[in-house]
Amino acid sequence: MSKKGRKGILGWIIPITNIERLLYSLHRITGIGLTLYLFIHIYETSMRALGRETWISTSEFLDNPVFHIGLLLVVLAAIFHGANGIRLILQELGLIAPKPTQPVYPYRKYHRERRVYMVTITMLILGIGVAIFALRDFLILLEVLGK
Amino acid sequence: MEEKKVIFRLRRYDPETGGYREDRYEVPVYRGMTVLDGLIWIKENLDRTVSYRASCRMGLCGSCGMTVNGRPTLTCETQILSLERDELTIEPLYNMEPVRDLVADFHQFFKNQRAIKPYLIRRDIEEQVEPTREYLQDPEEWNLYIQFAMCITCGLCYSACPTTATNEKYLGPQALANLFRFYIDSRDEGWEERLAIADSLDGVWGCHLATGCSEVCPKGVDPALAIQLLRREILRKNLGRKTRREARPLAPLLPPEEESPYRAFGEAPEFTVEGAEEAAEKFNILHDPRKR
Repeated sequence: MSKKGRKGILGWIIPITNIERLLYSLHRITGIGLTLYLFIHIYETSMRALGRETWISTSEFLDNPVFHIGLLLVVLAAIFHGANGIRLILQELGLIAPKPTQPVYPYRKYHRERRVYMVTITMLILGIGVAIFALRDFLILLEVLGK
Repeated sequence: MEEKKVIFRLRRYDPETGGYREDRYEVPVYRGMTVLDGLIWIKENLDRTVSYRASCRMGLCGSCGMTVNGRPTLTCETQILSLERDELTIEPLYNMEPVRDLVADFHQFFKNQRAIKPYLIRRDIEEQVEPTREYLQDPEEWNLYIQFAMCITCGLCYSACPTTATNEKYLGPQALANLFRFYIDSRDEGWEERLAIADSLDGVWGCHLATGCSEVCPKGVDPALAIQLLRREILRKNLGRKTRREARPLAPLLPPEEESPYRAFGEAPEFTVEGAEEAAEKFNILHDPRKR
């Protein structure tokens, strides 16, 4: 079968039909972003191997508002990716799956209500939990940078 | 009645050029008019070359699935005014090869459906073909699978799935939900081979829980839930935990004096239409598990 009708990677992003589909797209985007950050971070810290002067000049180059905002985005992406990842593990392995029942008309409303509540509650609990730890570390980092 | 005009932008596939072109039609819309009604109106009044697939017009046959404003939709069930838009963009279903205009090819979709063995598998094949007794099933057992048995194979879930967008070998939400429907059926005895089919990267592990399938399903089948439950069963099996119970035994044979009244019907009458006997024989071969 030819691949003419298939959306390809674009199909990861469209169509956004529901909240979980949006979370799926964001999970992919943040995942790619965090992987890129990892390589940049390894490159940045490897500057230490080139001597004290190089490391200080690299640190000075990175110490500006653009990179601070970038770092904040990385922290937010990590919070989201972590919380959503835990939700996915719980849901994907069927650990918080409801029992199947006979669908009641209108079917779409029935699904949406059941699932959106579950996703919202799980994400809120996990998001707040992960955010407390991640933001605490971020604030400590900013304090260290400030000194 | 006040009449509103809605622009139908049809993204039509041309098999001769292998590309798409967009045609615009102005359609007068009345209250209760569906997207399919609009397409029929265009074909009858504006352009007879427009191709689309439809049959029952009441959400039962699953033929008229199309992408409306970027969302896989059953057009016979979707009222134009409920969309609250002055323009509708209609395309063939995503993730299927387009045939012509708005018609998509379901070849791969039904191939996947056949791959999961969508029928009751029994060890006692003779009893299945020439039944002497009923299979027992209580309402609780029926409740476990009825949600997944409501599928009308419209292909909307397959079209909304991001995994099918990149992996053409992926079985897809419809096939996996159907697999679970038979797996959990208390009359089925093929659970081991069903789990083996599902337990692969092109099976349940290909799903990333975007749940677009459940969102667009017009019958409330919830394929995402079926995939979650299948994963739980596979996990339990791999951890050595108990999975699905054994199939229930058949209903006890009645003593001859209390024999079921249904048996009193006797033999079927002779065929009266020419060719019907051959057709019946072909049907029996297709549906006889001894000949599969």
